[in-house]
Amino acid sequence: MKLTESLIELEEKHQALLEEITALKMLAFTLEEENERLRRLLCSYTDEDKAKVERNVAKIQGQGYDNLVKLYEEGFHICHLHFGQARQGDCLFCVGFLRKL
Amino acid sequence: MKITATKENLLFGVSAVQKAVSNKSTLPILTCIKLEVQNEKLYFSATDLEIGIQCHVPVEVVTEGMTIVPAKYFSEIVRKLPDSLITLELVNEHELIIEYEKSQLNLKTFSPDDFPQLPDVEAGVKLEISAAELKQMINQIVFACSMDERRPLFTGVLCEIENKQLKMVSTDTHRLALKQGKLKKGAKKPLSFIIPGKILSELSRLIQNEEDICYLSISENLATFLLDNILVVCRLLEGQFPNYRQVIPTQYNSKIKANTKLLSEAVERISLFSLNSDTNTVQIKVEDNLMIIFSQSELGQGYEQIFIENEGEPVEIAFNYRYLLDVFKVLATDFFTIEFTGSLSPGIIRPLENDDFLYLILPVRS
Repeated sequence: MKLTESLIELEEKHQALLEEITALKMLAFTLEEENERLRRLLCSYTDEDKAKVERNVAKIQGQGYDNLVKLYEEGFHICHLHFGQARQGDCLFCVGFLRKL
Repeated sequence: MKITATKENLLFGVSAVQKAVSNKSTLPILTCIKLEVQNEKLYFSATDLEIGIQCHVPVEVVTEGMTIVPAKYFSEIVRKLPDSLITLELVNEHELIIEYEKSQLNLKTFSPDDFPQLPDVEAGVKLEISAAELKQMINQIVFACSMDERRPLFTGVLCEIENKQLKMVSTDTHRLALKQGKLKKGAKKPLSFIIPGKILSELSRLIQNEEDICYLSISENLATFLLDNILVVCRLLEGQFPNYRQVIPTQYNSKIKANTKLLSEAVERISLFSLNSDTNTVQIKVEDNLMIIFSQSELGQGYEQIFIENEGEPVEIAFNYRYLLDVFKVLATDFFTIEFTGSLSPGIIRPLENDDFLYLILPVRS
């Protein structure tokens, strides 16, 4: 291959790289804009709104935990390995999972 | 093939490979033992395709060769032979003549071409461990494996290797045993695999000379254990062993120190009143350096008090006595500790001043 051809090929690669950098630059700009908008949105929520969301999350988690305990007490596995299968006696992994929650 | 051997050597060979002989008759060749004479040794091989065992014994060789004999009959014959020199000779390719004293038995044989080759694990990770240490590790772990074949993962023992440290973990989901040991030659990268518990039990039985080194080779789905004159090949169990670390409590509310023999004997006596109950439960109460073990059923009731050392809150808990007795049999120290974290949380049993073994046992709700 001649030197000129090599240089042309290198130039094309360089051009492609530059185009990719430009595209990534635009994407980064869009993400930064979105991030800024979300930050502003977050600041617009009052402490009461935040507390309400937190209470709601805790309630949902509490319900989830209660449901798991109920399922376990009714004689079913809640560990990921045998979830929903009938258990015989207590299971170390279910008890460990409940303790972790 | 023609050899002369002692009854003792023949019996050792057939007993060593017996566990690998298939009980199912769907593939009759798997109910057989392969006998191969090579380099002044008689090799015995058997496989049920899950486990393969090969062992060799020294014999006086007249001619080398190989044959396949039905395991059931050959083993019975060997067991009943007199304690004298025995000659085995293959004639007409399908008949084994067994000569002893002035007597002779003729046993029909199978073609060696049909017998499956034991898999070769040359490419696996190579490890070495003292046979005595491996035997002790297996014996302290394997009893906690599940017998329930519907959940095959728990019928196995998880082996975790990091540098020269080997951890073995077994559980039936009601209790968990964990043992740590040292390898003589470890792995460069961390490695974990699950070996069927019944194969480890067999390996422990086969370790006779505790001064041996056991050479392990682990590949993607096979493991081999090479002892002085015995080779065991087995398939590894597939699947993800659950995260056992998250079930081990890191804190405790109370802790006791007790004498292994005293407590073991007390539980054994008191458990007589639980023999016919469904739960096999003994109640335990700990307060002021005193442990009361209590049990009752329609047969009657009984209690024993033993002195212990305790710290922390008083304890009232119930355990399956079988799970307690199992661990008392393998605790290698005179004293041990139990850490309690609540009447529904697992208790942790450890040998005193020894961190390489722990046993987790779930209480029974009473």
